Amino acid sequence: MSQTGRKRIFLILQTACCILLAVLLAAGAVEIWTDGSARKILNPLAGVYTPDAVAEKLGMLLPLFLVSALLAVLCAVFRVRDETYEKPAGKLFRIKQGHRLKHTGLIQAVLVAAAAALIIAGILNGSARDVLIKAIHICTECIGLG
Amino acid sequence: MDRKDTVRIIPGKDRRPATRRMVQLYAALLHNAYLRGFIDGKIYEGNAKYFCSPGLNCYSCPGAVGSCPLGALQNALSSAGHRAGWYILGIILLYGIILGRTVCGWLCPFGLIQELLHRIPTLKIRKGRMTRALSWAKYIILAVFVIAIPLYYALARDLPYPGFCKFICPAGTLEGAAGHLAHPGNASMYGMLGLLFTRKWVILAATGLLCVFCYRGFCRFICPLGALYSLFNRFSMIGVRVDTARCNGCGACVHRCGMDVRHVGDHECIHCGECMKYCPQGAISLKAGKITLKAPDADIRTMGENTRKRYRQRKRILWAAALAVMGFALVWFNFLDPSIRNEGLSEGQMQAEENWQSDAAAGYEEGMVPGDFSLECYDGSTFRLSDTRGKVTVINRWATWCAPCIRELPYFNDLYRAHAGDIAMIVIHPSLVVEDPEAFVAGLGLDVPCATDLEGDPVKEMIGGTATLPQTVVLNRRGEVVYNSVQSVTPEVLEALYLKAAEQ
Repeated sequence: MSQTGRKRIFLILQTACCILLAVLLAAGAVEIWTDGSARKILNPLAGVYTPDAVAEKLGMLLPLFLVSALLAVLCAVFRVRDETYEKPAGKLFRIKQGHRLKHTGLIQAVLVAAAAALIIAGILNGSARDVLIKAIHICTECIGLG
Repeated sequence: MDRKDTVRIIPGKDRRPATRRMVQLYAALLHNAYLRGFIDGKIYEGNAKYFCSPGLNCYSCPGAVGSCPLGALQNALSSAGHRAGWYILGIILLYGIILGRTVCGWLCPFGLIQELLHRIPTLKIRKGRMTRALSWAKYIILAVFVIAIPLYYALARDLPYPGFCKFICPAGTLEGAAGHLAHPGNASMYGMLGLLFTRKWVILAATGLLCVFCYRGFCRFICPLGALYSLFNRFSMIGVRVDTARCNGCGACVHRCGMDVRHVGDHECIHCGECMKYCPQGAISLKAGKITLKAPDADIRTMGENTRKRYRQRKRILWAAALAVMGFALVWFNFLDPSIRNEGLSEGQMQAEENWQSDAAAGYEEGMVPGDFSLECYDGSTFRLSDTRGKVTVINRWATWCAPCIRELPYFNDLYRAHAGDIAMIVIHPSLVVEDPEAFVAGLGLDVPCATDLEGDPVKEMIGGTATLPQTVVLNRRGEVVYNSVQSVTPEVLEALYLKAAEQ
């Protein structure tokens, strides 16, 4: 087998590892949720997720993660990478010639002045304080906790 | 000139980290300079959160010292019925006009995470017409999840509803949720995880996978913050510029770029400056107005010795200044900042020692007795915790900006009505208010006594409250804690908690 072919096998293996890791991470969460939901019907005070269940699922993924890390190290050592990706892209789409807008300086000055006015108005009407208050409290729903 | 003349750069050949990578790491650390948060499992609650950080960095991340512009924008739209969010609009406009999508390429911590994921050696997805078409999706996400959903809920239902944070944002799941769950001190947070977390975890896994295969997949197809900044990209003060006198239109810049650009500096360009390496004409440079921040390599090579020396010296001075700023930020945020509000949670415990006469230890954990407090309720009555002995007592902490808190308030009211006479209850709003909580609860028609915590939130401390909402505490007839948890509750859970406390 040619060197390129061997390198490609590394890449395919690593690709498979990454897909498997992501799928198992997602599937593990779904499994914990389905089991926990069934438990919660019987006992409303029971938690759907428990640290033990999460640790167990993550523990199962550890060997795969280590394999993937090892493959990444090997790829780095042997300089294995998707060379087709590093080649310049072929026919993409019509490339446009870039040009700056006319009166850019004026637009910038107007927008900076508008931004400063909005910030001052925000400080005066209390919306700056709203930003602070919301940022120093954790809304559990907003970060996906529940 | 033929494309073969393009300078061929082999990634990994030059082992020194690129300037951009160093800046990205620097910015990520500066965004998350409150390192104590990772050790304590709590968020930074100081005044620096008045300021929005430019990049996508969840403000519920334990290390975050600034607010997330996207979260702040959604919250401002959620308050649209009460107050116009001029401040956040001004901040976004300012970042947009000064930096544009330079934020994405140089400063965004989530952009750095995406680039590191993309370095995992796998087969990669190349850009093309399909990815170019997909890059418009982020504008739809901006319009629907960031603007329309929060506005609709604010105006039609008077409910805060940050659509993007709740349904999509993988940065929030990774930095906020996972950041807190990873800390052993936050084990109680597992109790609140359910369908929402499962859904967001799946989205996080999918986003991670997308970024492994597709360069900055989230940034290109999903990120509404990038979409916002892209609106200013054509006239931002800092960014890559093409010297039209030198450019021969070979298109090497566009072909080599990982983003779906059609020309350097368009709305998809993140001003990373990677194209500078590939431009055979040396026509591309990174500029701030007329000042050149990064000159083309060819120009640096042809500089006179003295000019090159000055160039390097200026670079060293800039890095020294940046390191000094970083050092100051780390010391200030972690040790000196007097505005931090979550210091000394043990005060509540100390006060409890002096109060109730009970065999149980003082504290706010299960089996303990919390410190006594009294609050004046909106209806004019006074709620004193020590007066509730002999009844099941329920304390709920909520806020007008917290959607799950608002949704569960009627459940508390129903429980209060169902067990009237045998239950004492109070719902407490933090002392920092965005809109008048008294008027808010009046609109809900609650029977439950409602009050606002005193300045400095002493009650929060006594019941072991943190920055996280909603919190529910249930005490038995002896005043001992039966349940103390930060999570949403259902009517079934509340009834079960009442029965558990009543039986003890």
